[in-house]
Amino acid sequence: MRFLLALLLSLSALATSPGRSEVGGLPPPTGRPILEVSGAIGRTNAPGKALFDLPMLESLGMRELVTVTPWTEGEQRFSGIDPRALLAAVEARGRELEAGALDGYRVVIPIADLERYPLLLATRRDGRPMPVRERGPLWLVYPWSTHPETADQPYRGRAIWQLRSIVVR
Amino acid sequence: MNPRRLALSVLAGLCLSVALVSGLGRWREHRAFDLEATLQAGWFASRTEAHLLRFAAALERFAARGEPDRESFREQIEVFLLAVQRLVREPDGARLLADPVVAGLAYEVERRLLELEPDLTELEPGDEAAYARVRARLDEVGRPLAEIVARAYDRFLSAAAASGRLATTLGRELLSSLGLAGLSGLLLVGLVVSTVREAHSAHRQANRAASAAREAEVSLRTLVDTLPVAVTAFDEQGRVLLVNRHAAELAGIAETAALGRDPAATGLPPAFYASDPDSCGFCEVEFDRPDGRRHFLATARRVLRDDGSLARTVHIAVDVTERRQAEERLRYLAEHDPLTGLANRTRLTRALASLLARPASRVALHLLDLDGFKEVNDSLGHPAGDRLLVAVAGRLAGAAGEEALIARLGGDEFAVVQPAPADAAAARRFAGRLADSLAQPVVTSDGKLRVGASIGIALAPDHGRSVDELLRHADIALYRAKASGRGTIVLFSSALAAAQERRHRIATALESALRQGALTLRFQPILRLRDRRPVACEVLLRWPEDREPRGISTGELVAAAEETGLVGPLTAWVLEAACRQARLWQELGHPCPVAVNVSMTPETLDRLETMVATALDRAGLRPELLELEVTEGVLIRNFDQATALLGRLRERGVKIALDDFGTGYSALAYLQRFPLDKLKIDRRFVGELGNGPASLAIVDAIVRLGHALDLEIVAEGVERPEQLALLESLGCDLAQGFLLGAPEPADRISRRLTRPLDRGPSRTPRPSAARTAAPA
Repeated sequence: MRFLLALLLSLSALATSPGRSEVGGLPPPTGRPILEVSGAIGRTNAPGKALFDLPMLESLGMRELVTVTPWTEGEQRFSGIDPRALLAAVEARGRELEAGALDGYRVVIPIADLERYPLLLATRRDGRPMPVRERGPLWLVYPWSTHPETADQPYRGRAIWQLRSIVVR
Repeated sequence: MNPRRLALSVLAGLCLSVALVSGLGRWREHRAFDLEATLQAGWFASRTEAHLLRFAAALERFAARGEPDRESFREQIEVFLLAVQRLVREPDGARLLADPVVAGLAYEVERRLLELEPDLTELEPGDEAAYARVRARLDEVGRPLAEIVARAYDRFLSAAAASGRLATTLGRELLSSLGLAGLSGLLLVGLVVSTVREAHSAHRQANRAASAAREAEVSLRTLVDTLPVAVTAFDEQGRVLLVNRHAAELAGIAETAALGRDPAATGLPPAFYASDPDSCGFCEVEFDRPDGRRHFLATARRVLRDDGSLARTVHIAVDVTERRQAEERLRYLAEHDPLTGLANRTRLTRALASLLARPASRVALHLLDLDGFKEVNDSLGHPAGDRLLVAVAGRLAGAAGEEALIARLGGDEFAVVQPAPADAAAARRFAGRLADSLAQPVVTSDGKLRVGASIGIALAPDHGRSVDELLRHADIALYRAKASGRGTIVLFSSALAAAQERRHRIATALESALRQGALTLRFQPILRLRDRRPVACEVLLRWPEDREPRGISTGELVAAAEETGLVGPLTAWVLEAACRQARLWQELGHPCPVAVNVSMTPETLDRLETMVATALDRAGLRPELLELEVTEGVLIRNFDQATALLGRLRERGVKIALDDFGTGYSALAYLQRFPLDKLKIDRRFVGELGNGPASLAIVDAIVRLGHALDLEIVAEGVERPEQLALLESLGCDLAQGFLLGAPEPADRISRRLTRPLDRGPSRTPRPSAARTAAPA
């Protein structure tokens, strides 16, 4: 319900004040931001960065990926967005992403990975948003089932969970 | 934390370090796997412990100041929860849990944390009592976790000991690895706060106890015996009146045997009675316990009077040994890099300052930057990069010897202080040894990694007498070393500083000129010899003559841009301006391709494709009207990357010319595989044309070679008519030079471009064209 409300709010914000919401090219998030994208990007909604809340991210187009993971048992049904859609939304120009997680973990992901594998920036598992204790709210999921090599380094370390920030370089 | 476990974790941390420094590959191969797996288990466990410390810090910040906000704090609770649950429920922790004791402890950690979670979630900032309660319970979570880490390292230790190498490497590398016990150190940091707090509250209680003594010695007895504080009391003659249980235990004496006697005769250490009566606060004294262990006591004494007549002295002492150790540990941490155990910048600065303060002492400062570190970090991840840094630290320590101080200044930058080198040559030899120590690949669990080092050296007193000066000058030398390519060693000189200064001035000027759009372009026509018509223009960058600093050559401009990271913006600007001009000519009805020189530093190599696409796009220019001139250097340095890049550009339709051909390596194998359209004969060969058979033969060979490879040949620097005639007779396709047209502003070129079109067929065909041109 809160999700719907937030969505409605963001839509009405778009409709009523297009001038203001277009500052920097992106509408501002209405809910608590869960992802911060900065660096070489062309569209922002805060000084030098683009902030996203969950509805904003999910409005970029939901997809599904069913895969095993190297850390859990059995197949998992993830849904989320194509990370390329996110990069397109902020007009990212770069070759790599420096991703940072809530637990202080940082890793560099070549953008080439996004072309080579059908990655998913997962926001949900089994249709429900993922809590932080289950690697949420955002987890960059590699297609481990169909591309088992991604369970090994260097890809293994790039499947960053508790994702909080991305710097495009 | 009890001393046994403290010692154990320090030891465990040390051994982990030694293992990392020595490189796992140095253990027998069949043991290596086991060892590594055990090590990884230990590493994983300590990561979980590091999570605990991180969380404890977040908890304290939130409780004290409500920072960050509640939502973020709850996130941190969950982050820590996941870390703990990974230990218990995920494959990474499985190896640890194979030990049933560890498994029991791990489940205990999880259970306690889950029990604590509701209280953590409800914690209000500023509620000190609630914070104290959850903090204590968090310690309860930490205790079994610390035990797991200790056991994990124990297992690693016994596995390593079984390999038989530990003993020999331990002694040798102990010194260089000391700081690697970083995790154990971090643990201590977490404990400092609580230790100090304990000591303070104990102090207050002791004071209350002392006032109780004045009223009733019996109640004092009961009270003081339960205190975790050593309390002793003496009468006016200094005879022992009281030794509480804690004091007796600490001093290792029996109270009954001491009562009524002179303390010195009872074996009571002076620390328990001899503190300075004038000092009002605590003073800190050390004493050796009967078991030989050194303890530190914070002591104080008060003289209490009964009715102004009899005076008694009450002496209290708090055992602060752990705090002292923690403080020493903190001091150590403050001066060392936790990853490699090397000194950090603070320590380096202090050590250099004290060396420089000595009269007439020569010191060499070597700054060292790893070549190829970023690649390791990027391709294998930061943990691999960290392991590599640790290994490099060990190598440097081995090569530098015991006299030298090695510091890690951050990232992949190291500094080595070489005390008392005989002369500059000795400093160079020393730097050579440092570089050589990295020549062999580093073997880590990530495989064989190769790095090299660029080194800049500055000598005191020759190159500076202050720490700042020396650091700055070594940095200039390092900068020069890096610019000269991998694995270079450069000694500072004043010429280097002057050149640096000029480059800096140029770079600053260039930056503002770029910002203000003050740079200008000149266009030099390239003519087709067959009909003398301009078929393209080479674009040349010009520094405006009236702009400061005056007289900057294009070469200097490009060099400054390449070294200061301005080459990207500069290239982008030139490309865009040139494409705009070409588009203008196209619109005016006389299209003329523009040939832009691009310098291929690693930086531009990455971005060139985007820059070209952007420039074409913005100008709305057909790619066929853009040519890129590249030099051979790029082929030598980055053949595969450059080939792929230029291949892609060529597929778009952009033409590629190889500039200055014949002066560099001119490796023919490259020509075969390199995507090219044109070959530009270097001006030096053209200039020599007519002066003898050699240059004629060379130009002839280049023309034939180029034609055989289906390339157009451009002659540069044509200045004399006879050169032109010879070029024509050799079958050269295109030419440029002062004879055919100097570099000029675009509008002048525009006029010229329209001319051949007007005259069109009136041009006489070759070879008579050469003759008519000759007298001109």
